[in-house]
Amino acid sequence: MEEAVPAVASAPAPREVAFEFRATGSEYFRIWIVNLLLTIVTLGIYSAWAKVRRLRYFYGSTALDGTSFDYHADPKAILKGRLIAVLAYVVFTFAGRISPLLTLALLPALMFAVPWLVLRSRRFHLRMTSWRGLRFHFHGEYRQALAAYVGWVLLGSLTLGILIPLSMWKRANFLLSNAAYGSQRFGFTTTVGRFYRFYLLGFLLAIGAMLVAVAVAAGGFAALGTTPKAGTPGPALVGIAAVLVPLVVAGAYFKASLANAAYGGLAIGPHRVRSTLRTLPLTGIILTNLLGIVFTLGFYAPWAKVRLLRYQLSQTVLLVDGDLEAFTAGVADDSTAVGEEISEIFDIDFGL
Amino acid sequence: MAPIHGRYFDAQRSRPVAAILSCDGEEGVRLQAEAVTRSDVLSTVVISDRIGAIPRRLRFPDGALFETDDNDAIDALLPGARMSPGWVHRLEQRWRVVLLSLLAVVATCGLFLQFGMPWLAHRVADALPPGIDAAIGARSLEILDRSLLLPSALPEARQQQLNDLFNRMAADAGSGQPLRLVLRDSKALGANAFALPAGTVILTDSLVAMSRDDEELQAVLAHEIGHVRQRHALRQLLQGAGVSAMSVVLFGDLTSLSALTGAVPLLLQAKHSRDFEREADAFARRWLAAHRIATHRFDDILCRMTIERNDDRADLPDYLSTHPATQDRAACAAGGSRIIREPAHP
Repeated sequence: MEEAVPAVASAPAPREVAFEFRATGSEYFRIWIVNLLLTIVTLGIYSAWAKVRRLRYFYGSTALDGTSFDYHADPKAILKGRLIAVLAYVVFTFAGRISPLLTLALLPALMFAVPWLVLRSRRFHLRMTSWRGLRFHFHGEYRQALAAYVGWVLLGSLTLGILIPLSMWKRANFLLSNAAYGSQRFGFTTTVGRFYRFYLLGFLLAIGAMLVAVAVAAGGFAALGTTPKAGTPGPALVGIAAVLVPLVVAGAYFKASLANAAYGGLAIGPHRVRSTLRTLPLTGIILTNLLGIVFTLGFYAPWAKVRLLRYQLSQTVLLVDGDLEAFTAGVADDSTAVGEEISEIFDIDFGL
Repeated sequence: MAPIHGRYFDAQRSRPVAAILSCDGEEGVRLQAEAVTRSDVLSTVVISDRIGAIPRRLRFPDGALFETDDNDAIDALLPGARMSPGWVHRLEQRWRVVLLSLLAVVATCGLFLQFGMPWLAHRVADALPPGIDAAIGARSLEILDRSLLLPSALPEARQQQLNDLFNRMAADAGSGQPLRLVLRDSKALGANAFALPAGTVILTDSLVAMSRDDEELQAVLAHEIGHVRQRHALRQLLQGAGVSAMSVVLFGDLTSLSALTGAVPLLLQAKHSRDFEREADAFARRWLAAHRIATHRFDDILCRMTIERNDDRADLPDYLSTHPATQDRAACAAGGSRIIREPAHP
């Protein structure tokens, strides 16, 4: 049976399978606003159902090779996690306000909690995601998470940042090479050198943006000194733009490079991912989104989110070697929503 | 019912198989695919909620999956509203409902920010022990002394006089944080007075020099005591936490915009700060009235402070300023506007 072993035969060029994104701003706006209304009416209880509905909408709108993704979390589990998270947040906030010493005492605990939270959150999130009837999984362990989120970060700051790109590579490697689709473990092929290259350039861009900001601020102060009254908002707006735009460019460069280096290094069995986000289009989207949100008092936000996601997904391609039909189911593990909800309320970002 | 076309997944492999779903008697569904034919009782099949135009999924008891883009056909399959609570989707489909939701959300948020949150913060502050205020700004004076403040250059006797004046005021200013006057000089702050949450009221030499008599100083001190007695620092903190929580609820799913959601509480903080200033103004006027001092003495010195500062902030739009515009605040219209036009006396 010759055709049973196509992967070994002289490799034909891989097929490019693009991610399709079918969400629209107006559809998401309606989901968002009804979610908000129901959340308000139920004094926040509905927020768990709202989250599931929002994620199901976005996952269901993202398709690969003709099939969309799905999100399976049970809103009741999320609600439970959320209640615990809010409780933890209230306790932590008030501990800090009442006694800064207590916060200091809690910091080491938090340091060890963050890797645990990231781990639980990733496990829950991937477990609740599926494609073609098979779930994703996350096989990371606490020891690895501790190294990626505490150990390497400490080393990075101890070496005055020289090891920061390496620590970010370790983090990406932890997050991606521990993920799995069904029984297929992901691989991560990006070199550490690539992280160093974009960190260096991003660092220079950030310094440039900072210099521009300082120059504009200095110019602004000088202008205040000479002109008797700076009443008109015109110069102030130009100043804000002059400070904001370079910072957004630097941020977009970094965001695009990190995504390209991280997701572009994914190996899923024989298949590869290509990520080609570019700085200037991303800057344009971020800036126009910002303007839209400011001028609509926030109500442009759903369109902004859809636009950003659409661009990101349009630049992500799966290079398929053979077909996508041979994946098999993985072993189910149990997971709860507590870690994810605590991470969310404390704004703990896993960093990709 | 017309058969529904879709894809079938067996939950073991990622291979899609073209499949057709049809009714099987009253309570069943029948699925036909390449090498599979199955019949299930409808009540054992989990049908996903309809959201936008995303594909609908039917999950069979063994985990196998049927997926179709034909949302309407699936809805038709459902006997009434028994299986799926599609009401959320129906709300989302009606633009009138969406528009009403928008109005309701805006109105609720507006009312909550304007009335609900300040009221709630006030009640919570009342429930908290007085010691908490002291904790908020425990080291503020220390930090200010190191950065902006210099020791007062007023003669010893004058300092004693002012302290006595303040202590008399503090004695009948109600219970709460113990009040203390601190006299300081400051080039950076000019003619100024402010209160720390722990009950320390700071008065600068320039303000003492600017006042025409002690009644004006009492008016300013009463305003600062108002801040302490009404626990504005604690309430500001509580309101800030409330606004943060609200902006997370509204925009929390937009992580890429988190910098912007951070700005919302900041803008609102300025608004809350203005409300507290007005409240302290009212406290000062009540105190003056109770002590048979003309309330316009407060407006007089406030207007003069504004002129002395050559108030740049007067140009700021109201929503960015932490203090209300002085004209608005001191009702400078009658007596005050005359003072404003007067050249400032040295």
